[in-house]
Formats: sequence, structure tokens, C-alpha cells
Amino acid sequence: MDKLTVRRKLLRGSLSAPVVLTVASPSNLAAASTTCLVNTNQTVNVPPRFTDPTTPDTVYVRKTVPVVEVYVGSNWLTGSYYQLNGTGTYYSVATGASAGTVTKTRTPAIPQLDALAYLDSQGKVVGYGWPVTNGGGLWTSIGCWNSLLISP
Amino acid sequence: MQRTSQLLKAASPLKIVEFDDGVAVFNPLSWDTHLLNDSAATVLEFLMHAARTEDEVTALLAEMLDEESRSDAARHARSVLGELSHLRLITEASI
Repeated sequence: MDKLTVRRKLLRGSLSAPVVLTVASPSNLAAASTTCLVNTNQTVNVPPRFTDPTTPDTVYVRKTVPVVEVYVGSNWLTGSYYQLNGTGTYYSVATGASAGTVTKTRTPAIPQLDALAYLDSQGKVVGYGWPVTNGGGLWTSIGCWNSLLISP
Repeated sequence: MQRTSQLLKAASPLKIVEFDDGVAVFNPLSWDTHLLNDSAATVLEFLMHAARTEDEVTALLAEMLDEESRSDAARHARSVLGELSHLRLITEASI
């Protein structure tokens, strides 16, 4: 006797009406939604320190971004820095400011960060976003950020 | 669409996890997860074993439902088949 037959014998005459529910997937909702980022763009004063997406509906994806510590002048600067499109210019993760002339780099304890990468119509990365915190960051609301972190 | 003579079958592949009082079905085509109570799960399992018509599903539910719901078996069959089809958990079977 197969499993279905056994189940039917056991449950015969006892079931209530069929019910089908769908579990909402936060990552799918976030991926399908442009609302949270658009709203963030419209409500936050955009600091000039980050490379700005050119339009509020710029396509964005989650991306792991390599970061380094940079040596400028005669000092290692505090914090992590990233390059945009391999241009050689390093930007601060915390402030978005350019590091200036970097003479050497080294790998920090956390060598990469998750960011929202903003793409132009050609698929080129035009900027990165991190959630707004006391230490800096912009573009991304905490809720939107958290939903994107939950990958399938 | 008249469904009574149409053959329906469960879509594949579906990932199914059983609970005490129902199942969770993950559809890799839609990336959605659905919760089915026992009677909806029984219908889906019924359509996983072979392609069936709506009439056959109605007969199944008439056998399985409690006294209170049994008289509405045809309505429940149409409703759950419509829902499962909408969610792409079942499809028309090619003959």
C-alpha cells in the first residue's frame, strides 16, 4: 500500500476545506521593489561624499566589494577604502571621501563588505551604497538593506 | 475554461516538506513557498501520482472532507485547483 493510500485511509472524512497560503519572501520582495531605494533617494539629503547614482531608479544589485587600508603621505588612514571600477582612486567606506594619492595598501581584518552596487544602463557600477548609520553611509534604508541581505 | 474533462498534474520539480498538519511546498520556478493544509496537500499529492480531472479531484475531496465540508466538495475542488494552477503548482497534462 503506497503512502498516499495510507494517508487517505487515515484522513478519510476528517479534513477541512483546502487552504493554500503563500509565504512572502523578503529577498524576492526587495528584489522586485524599487520603492524603498527611491523613497530613500527622495527623502535623504544626498551627501556629496559618495559617487551618486544619476537617477533615482538606477538599477541596483547586492555586491561584495573588496576593501583595503590605504597609506597616504606618511600615514595609514583610519578605516576601509574601496576602488570604483578600478580607477585607482580610493574612497572611504565611512565618509565617501577620496583618499588622495595612495602609495600602498594592505588587507584589513575584514577584507570585503557587502554593498548595494548601482548600475547604469550599460551595467557599469556607478556607485555603492551602505545603510545609514551614525558612522555614515547613505542611500539605503536599514529595512531595505536587511531585506537584501537575506539571500535565497 | 471548462476544467472537468481537462487532465491536470502537479508541476515538477517541487520541493515538499511535511508538517503535522500540512506541508510546505517550494516552487523553484517561482521561488515561492506555499503552505498547504492537509486537504490541499492531499489534492497536490493526488496530482503528483497521475494526471487527473477535476471530477476525480471532486470525488477525492468528497471522500476525504469532513461532514460539514463534503457537500461542497465540487466547489472546493474547483477552488483549490484554480489556486494551485494560479501558483503554478499544477499544470495541464499533455495527453
